[in-house]
Amino acid sequence: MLRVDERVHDLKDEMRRLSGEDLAKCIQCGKCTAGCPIAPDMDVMPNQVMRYLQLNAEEKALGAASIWVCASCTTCSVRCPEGIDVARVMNQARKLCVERGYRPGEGRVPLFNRLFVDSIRRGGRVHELGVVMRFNALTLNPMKDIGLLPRILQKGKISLLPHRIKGLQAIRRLFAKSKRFIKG
Amino acid sequence: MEIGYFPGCSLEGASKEFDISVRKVCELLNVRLVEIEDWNCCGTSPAHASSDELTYLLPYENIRKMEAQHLTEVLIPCPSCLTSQKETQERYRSDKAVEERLVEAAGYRAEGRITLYHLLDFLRDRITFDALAGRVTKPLTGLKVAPYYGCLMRFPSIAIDDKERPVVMHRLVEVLGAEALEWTHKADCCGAGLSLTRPDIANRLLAELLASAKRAGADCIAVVCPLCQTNLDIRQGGLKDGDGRPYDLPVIYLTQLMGIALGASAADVALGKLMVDPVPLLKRKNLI
Repeated sequence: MLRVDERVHDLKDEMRRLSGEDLAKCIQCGKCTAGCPIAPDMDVMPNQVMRYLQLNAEEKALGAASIWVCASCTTCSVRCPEGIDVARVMNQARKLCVERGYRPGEGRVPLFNRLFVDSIRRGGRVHELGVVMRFNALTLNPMKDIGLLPRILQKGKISLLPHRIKGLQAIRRLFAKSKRFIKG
Repeated sequence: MEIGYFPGCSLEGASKEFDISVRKVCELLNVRLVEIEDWNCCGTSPAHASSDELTYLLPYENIRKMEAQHLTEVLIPCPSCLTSQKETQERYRSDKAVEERLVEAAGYRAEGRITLYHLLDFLRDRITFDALAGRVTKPLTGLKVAPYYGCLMRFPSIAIDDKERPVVMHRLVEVLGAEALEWTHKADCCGAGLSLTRPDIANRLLAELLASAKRAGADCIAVVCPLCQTNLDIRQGGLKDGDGRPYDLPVIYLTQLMGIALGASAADVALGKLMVDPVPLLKRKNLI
C-alpha cells in the first residue's frame, strides 16, 4: 500500500526544480512504456516510475532497476503527448538515487559510470581498455569478452596505454569543484 | 574551407576508422580540419548520470579551448560528444544559473557562439548534396545499404530531420550511387552502453536490428555513430539469425563508403579495422 501524506508533492517538486520537468503533467497514457525498447527487461515500467515519482513513492521509484537500464534513447521523450522529457527524468532519478543513498536496482551501470568518470579524472580522456578491464574485474567476470580481444588488438582498435592530456590540472580542479546538482 | 575538429575519445580509440575516414573525406572535399588542441573528454552518459556540474563543466572546458583557437565552427562526428558540447553551450546561453555556475567554477566567461556541426548537417548544409554528387568518381552502384540512425535524430542537438522517420542519410547514400533501403528498425535503439553492462539486453536489441536489416535485403549497414557501429560490429559475432546462421553484415561508417565513392582506397578509409570484413562484399560489387 502506498501511504499518501502531506509530503506527497516533495519528490515531484524536487524533480521539477532539478530537471525542469513537470511530472504533474503525466496522464499515465503509457505511451512511454509502449515504445520503450528496454521495457521487456525492466522491473518497473517507465510510466510506473513516473507515477511513483508523482506519488512521492521515493523508494519504489529510485530503487527501480529501470532507471539504470534505461538506454536514454529518448523514444519516450519524443512520443510523450504532454511533452515531458521522460529520459531526462530517468537521468535525474539516477542522480537522486545515489544522492539519497538508495541501493541501485541495477548495480552494474552505476559501477561502469563510476569507472568511466574516474578514467576521465585520471587522464582527461577516457581510456576504453582500462575501464572495461576494471569493470570486468570488479563484476567478478575478468574473462568476459576475452575472446574478442586478440582480433580487436590485431586491428589496432584499442590503445593499450591511456592518453594524458596536458591540461590535466584544469580537469582535476573541475572535478574537485563539481557538485551533483547545479540547482540542488 | 577550414573548420575546427573535435574527434573525441572513441575516435581516438576503438573507432579510429571513423576518425581516419572523416579526415580522408574532408581532404577529398578540400576541407581543412583544425583539431582542438589538447581537447578533453565531453563526459558523455556516465558524467550525465553522475553530476549536473560535470555534465556541463567538461564540455565547457572544451569551449574554452575552442575559443582560445578563435574557432567559429567545429565539426564533431561523434553524436555523444556533439550532444554534450551543444547542450552545454545552449544551457550556458539560456539558463542564468548554469551560466553563472560555469563561469564561477571554470574561472572563464565563454562567448558561447560556436556553430557545432554533426556530419550529416555538415554534409547537407555546408558541403551540399549537389557538390558531393559532383565529386563522386566511383558510384557505389549495386550496393544495398541500410542507413541506421538509431536515436540520433531524437536528440535536439542533432535533430535535423524527422525524429522517427529520418531520410537524410538515405539521401546521402543515394548521392553516393548506392541503393538506400527502407527498413523497420532504422531509428531503433542499439543498446548504447548496455553492451558492456547488460549484454543480455543489448544483444536482444542488436539481434532485432540485424534481423530487420537482413529482411530488407541489406548488403551492409551504414552508420555515423561510434557506439552504434561498435555494438553492431563487435557484438555481431555472438548473434545468430532465425535459422541459427551467423550474420555476416558489414557495419560501415558513412564516411568510409563516401571515401570509396570519392576515389579513396580501402586502406585510405581503414576498412581493415572493421570486425565484420566488408572487403569481400565491396570486391564482389567491383567497388574496390
